[in-house]
Amino acid sequence: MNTGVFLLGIIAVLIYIIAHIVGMLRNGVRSMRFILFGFAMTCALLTFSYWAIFDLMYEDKALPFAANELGEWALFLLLGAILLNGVPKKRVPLVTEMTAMAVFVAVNTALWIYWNGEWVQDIATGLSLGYFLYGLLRQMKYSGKFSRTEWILLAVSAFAAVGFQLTAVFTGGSAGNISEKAGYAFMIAVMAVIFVLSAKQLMTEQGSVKGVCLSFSFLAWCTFSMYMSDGVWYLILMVGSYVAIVLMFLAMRKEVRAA
Amino acid sequence: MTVYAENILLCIAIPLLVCVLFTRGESRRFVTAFLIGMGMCLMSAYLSGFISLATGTGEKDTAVFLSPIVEEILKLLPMLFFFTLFETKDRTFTNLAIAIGAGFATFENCCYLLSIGAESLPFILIRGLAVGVMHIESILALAVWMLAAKKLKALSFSTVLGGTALAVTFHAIYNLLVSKPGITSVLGYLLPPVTAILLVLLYRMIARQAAKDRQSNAALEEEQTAI
Repeated sequence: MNTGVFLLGIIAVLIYIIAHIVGMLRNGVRSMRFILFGFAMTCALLTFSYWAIFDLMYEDKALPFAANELGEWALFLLLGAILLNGVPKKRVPLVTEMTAMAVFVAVNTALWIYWNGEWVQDIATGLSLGYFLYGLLRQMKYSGKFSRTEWILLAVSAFAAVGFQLTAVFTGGSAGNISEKAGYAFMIAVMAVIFVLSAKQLMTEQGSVKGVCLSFSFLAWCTFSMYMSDGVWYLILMVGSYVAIVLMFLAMRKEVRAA
Repeated sequence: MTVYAENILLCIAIPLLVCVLFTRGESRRFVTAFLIGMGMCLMSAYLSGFISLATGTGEKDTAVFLSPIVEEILKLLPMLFFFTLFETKDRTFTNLAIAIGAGFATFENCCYLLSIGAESLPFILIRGLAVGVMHIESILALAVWMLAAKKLKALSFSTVLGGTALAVTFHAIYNLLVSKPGITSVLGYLLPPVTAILLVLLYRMIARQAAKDRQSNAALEEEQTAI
């Protein structure tokens, strides 16, 4: 599937975001999180550029293991570092959340390995995404802005999405096909809900930590869902992840301006 | 034509090793880092060859897709060694990075020209301005990022990997663009010099901003002392 055209769109957006961040740094903004965010966006820009150039130059060839994978891992690690940077080093009790997150990442990694057999890449992707989720969970917990119901809904949604895919893998046939399609529809519905919540948060509250958490969650959701899907569903979720990058930028900018 | 890379390395390295004996301070460090850069180039050729054989990836695919990863990681290793073991000044560290990049590019160019031939002057100029500049700027950008991360107290595995990923992706984009003839290869050859100009502009902007920050901090301190 040629994704070059979609990639060109996000590349243009990323160039604008980076130029805006450089402009803000020139005007005296000295937030460490924001500097790291600018760096993560540069990483994303080069990674997407590599992918787009490959797609445009080698239309008929599947992308082998290359620099863009390393760029993606670095991007997730940097996003994790940004989120952890906003949380003091003191211990935050996260045993249940961390256990659930570890199981979720492990099952996802197992599914990726089952689908494409790329052991090393899939484990490395799982580890880097796990670090990103770890940062996100710590930031969410530390902010104290999420109710118990919201935590439960988040966990149920994550495991439901995986559950649909696991059912599809183990049952096969028409039942598996239905489960797979239902899983895609569910993932896109949850993506839409997180988008609405993030956008609402960004429009109503100035510089809120919740806005940052929601927009980063939006990216995490789109990324995991994207890696569990293919065809047109993959494209929709990919566009969703690009929207998430814009929302993350808006949330970070609001946080910096409020500070 | 078979290229005996080890013999070429010995031939270039021996005079430089003698230089190391007769120089002191920054010059000695620069020459040593230059030699290390050449050594890393040879190591990366070995490693890329091994990966190509072990994974069954063709020679061209290895050069286009895997070599940038291997080369940039091997250039990073001596940098990390200097960075973690020695308390070097910022300028010394960036000089070391430049020397490693220059050594790497020089040795790579020597082997390349011996295998392809050095008849065409335009081709040699392109090779020098593109690959030569690219190796230096990718490692210099990485060095500057490591120094900045240290100053921001954000030095960690993720930030170092982030910097390395930037260097690798930049290098990989260049390799990808020049892998096919035509307009893409022209863009590829233009990429390193254009990036070098942008990096110089960015460096000047950062230096100006730092000077401005220092001035305003000094003024603030003076005001506080007066109060």
